[in-house]
Amino acid sequence: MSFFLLALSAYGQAPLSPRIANYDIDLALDVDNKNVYANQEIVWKNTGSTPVNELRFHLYYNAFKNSESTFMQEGSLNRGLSEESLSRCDWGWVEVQSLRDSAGAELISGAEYIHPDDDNEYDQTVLRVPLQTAVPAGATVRYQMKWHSKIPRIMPRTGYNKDYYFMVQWFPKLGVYEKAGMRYAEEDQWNCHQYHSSGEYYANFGNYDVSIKVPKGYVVGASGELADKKESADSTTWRYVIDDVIDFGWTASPQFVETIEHWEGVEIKLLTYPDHVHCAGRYFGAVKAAFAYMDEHVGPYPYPTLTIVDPPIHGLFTGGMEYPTFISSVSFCFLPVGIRTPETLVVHEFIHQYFMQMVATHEVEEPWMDEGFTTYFEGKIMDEYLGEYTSTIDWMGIKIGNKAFNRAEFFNDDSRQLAPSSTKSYEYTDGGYGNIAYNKTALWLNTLEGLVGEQTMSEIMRTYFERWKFKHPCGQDFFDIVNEVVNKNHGEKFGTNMDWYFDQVHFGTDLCDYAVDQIYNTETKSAAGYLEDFDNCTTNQTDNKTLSSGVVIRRLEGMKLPVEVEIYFENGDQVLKTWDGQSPTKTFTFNTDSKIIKAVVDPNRKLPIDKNWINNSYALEPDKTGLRYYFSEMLLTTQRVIETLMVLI
Amino acid sequence: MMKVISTYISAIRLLFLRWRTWLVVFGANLIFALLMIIPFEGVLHEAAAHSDAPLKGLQHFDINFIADVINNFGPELKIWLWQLMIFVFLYLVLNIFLAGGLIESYIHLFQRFSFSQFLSNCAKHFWRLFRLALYFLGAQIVVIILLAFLYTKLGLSPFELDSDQQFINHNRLIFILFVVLFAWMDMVLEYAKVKLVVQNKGGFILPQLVKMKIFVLRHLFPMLLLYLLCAATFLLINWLCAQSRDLVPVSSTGTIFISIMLGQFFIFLRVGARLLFTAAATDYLRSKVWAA
Repeated sequence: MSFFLLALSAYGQAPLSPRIANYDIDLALDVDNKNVYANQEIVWKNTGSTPVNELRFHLYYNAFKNSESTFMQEGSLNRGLSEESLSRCDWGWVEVQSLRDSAGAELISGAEYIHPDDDNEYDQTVLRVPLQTAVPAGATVRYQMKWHSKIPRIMPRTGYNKDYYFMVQWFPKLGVYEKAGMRYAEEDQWNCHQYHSSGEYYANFGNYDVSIKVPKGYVVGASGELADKKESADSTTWRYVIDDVIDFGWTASPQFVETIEHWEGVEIKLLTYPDHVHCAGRYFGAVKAAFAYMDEHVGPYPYPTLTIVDPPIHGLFTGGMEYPTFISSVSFCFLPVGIRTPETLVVHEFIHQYFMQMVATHEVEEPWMDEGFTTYFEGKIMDEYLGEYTSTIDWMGIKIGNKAFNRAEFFNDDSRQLAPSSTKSYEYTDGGYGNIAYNKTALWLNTLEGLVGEQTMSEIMRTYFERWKFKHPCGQDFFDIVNEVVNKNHGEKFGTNMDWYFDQVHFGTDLCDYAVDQIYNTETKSAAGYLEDFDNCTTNQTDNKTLSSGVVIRRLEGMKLPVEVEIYFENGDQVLKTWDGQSPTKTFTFNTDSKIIKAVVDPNRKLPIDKNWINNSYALEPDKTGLRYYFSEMLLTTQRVIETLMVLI
Repeated sequence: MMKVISTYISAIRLLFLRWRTWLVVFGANLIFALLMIIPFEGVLHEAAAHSDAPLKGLQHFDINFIADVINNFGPELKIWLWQLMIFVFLYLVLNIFLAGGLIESYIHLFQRFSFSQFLSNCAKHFWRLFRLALYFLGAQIVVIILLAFLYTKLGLSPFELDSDQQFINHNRLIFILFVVLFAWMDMVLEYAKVKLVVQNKGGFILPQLVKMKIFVLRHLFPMLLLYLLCAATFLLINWLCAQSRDLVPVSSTGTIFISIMLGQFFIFLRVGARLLFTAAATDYLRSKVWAA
């Protein structure tokens, strides 16, 4: 709380971020022709060490210009565009009409589209603009831009449908000029990828002042605070401002119903269509739980607002998205309370305010750093808020928790070994982006927590956030913090560093599976044979009344992790052993007068990345109640189903 | 109205009078279900005979266990699912086979029940009833295709809808149409089955089916009322069955046994409620046609 107040008092005083790319945009929305006309002022600082001779802009809307763009070629065509849309020509585009420097020189005539990722000559999502006057290192420059766009209908994440507009990735936005040493840059360079079907964000922090002129009656929601609202005869201009963010999104519809609640001084605004108003409680409850959790475990939320957009049914294509202080979810008026989709999405998208927004990672190059982290925290928050076994589904007897659902989703998807989680978003050419970037990363973060302990993991996350907020870390920066905190808290318990772990879980594709292979209890006997000399042979073996007992543990997959093994003896004793998990098998032996009756690998399920928990335990005389339960459930279900099928005849 | 209620009560009495046939149908259900899940039990046993993991299912719905079984025993489960399909088909055929004997036993109410006679009647009417079932299945497929067509015409894509309510309205309309058409076909089927067994004639069954449709249309009100009474009984039993699911918290072998027995009791009732449709149709035809 004190942290939060401190942050709140600091807000507006000292800049939270370096404010490198700042935008002042005046735009008019033409709802009749689905166009946007805008004047845009850009104030940009060259943070490199050498003069910059060119600018690079993302023109995201050109991804929807035709079927040949990289975005469309990568498969989004099938996801977002129906044949009807094709025939109606629902495409969208953006055209920069003018770009002038502070001296008034027109720069756009020398501009060209470039395709740094795939040489797709039809892709026009990156514009290179040569400058007439180079920008010296450390200098701040101002440009005036005039642009015009056609809004696409029903494209993934953005566009319009009927009277609903969801405007994201909508304006010409500068790429990031990386100074040598920043992330993976070996020399000063532009980092400005084409728009791919998966992965979006990477941008400099800056301040935004956006005036949005819409027809009268339209309600506008956007990133930041509403600073001003001017009415004219037939239009309203909504002015939104926000500082220290990497992007800006907005939405408009005449049907929006606005509901406002607060969390510790933050205004939470919900924009819904009338038939979704009753879902407001679900959104506010979940997002407040997320606010509280992230504030306590990661760091304070420094912005004064958060806007949640609940799209109408015809705006489903925009659901589940995240932009600075502006997120969208999905609900239906008929959705049962026990199906937690609205809660899950709103929590997930809120966490993105931390991971990719404040800790501004590169979603295209390292998607795991925002989606994976977000899925990890989503599991923690949802399980805490709605229960470990009921946080995803609690409906008609089916109860599934969030973390368990993600684990099941990962292991039951064929893509689980297609690529390591270090893969760039557009390199998931054979699928697996969602499963690996989201679920696998969350699984290995949870496994890391299991290994180093909840307290150390919490410290890792707090340190990571504190050190990298309003900056652009790369994966290695996170690994460095893990190594630092683990070493501080555990010494060399896990080796000199945790790189062995990341090499396997992050850079590798091996699976993890440890199993109890067997338990044995052999009676020992006294020694026999020529024991003392060459003449006297001992021929009788007597029972020693002790047992030579053992448990054999096997590693069935390639991933090698340290595991705990709990061994249970007949006399009630329990022993907890640890194994480094390196060799294919490990035998724990005991000389004891009591039989080993059961062994459990990873008894506390600290390693959710283990693909099969069933073989983690072995009992000589197992309690079969569980199996009987599943058998009885299957029997009754089968009887009910085949009895119901009688209606067919 | 009173006539319909008395037919309904008489059908229930008929059901209890012929409790052996009820038991046979229930027995077939139980035996087939056991045959279907024994291979699954084998997979489960192979996966977890010595494991603690299934025990967690007693405490809560354990998605981890279910997912691990599916993930690690997918090929075996796939084979099992194919076997299931075959068993389902055989189960349906068996029930068509039993229908002839059932209806004969309902028709000849005052004859002493003989199992050998029952089986002989099953065999006697099997092919006719099998063909009737095929007609009925075909009609159902046609209805589903028609409704799917209507659904696309109403607007299948959420992107074309104005609101959730529109989505609900479309689905509600389709559902109501489906229920009405299905109920109509089910009624015709029940009466056609009885008629086919009574007439015991060879040749094409389509003309008889058409006659039965006309007959049902002529007596639509009482027949519909009777059908609705039977349907209400069926729904009531299903509701009671659903309510009873958490009646016995499963925690031990003893409580699992109680849960199975309770489940069997309700499945027995469900089977009875299903047979009630046939018994009611038989009784109604007896009172309307044969009495005349």
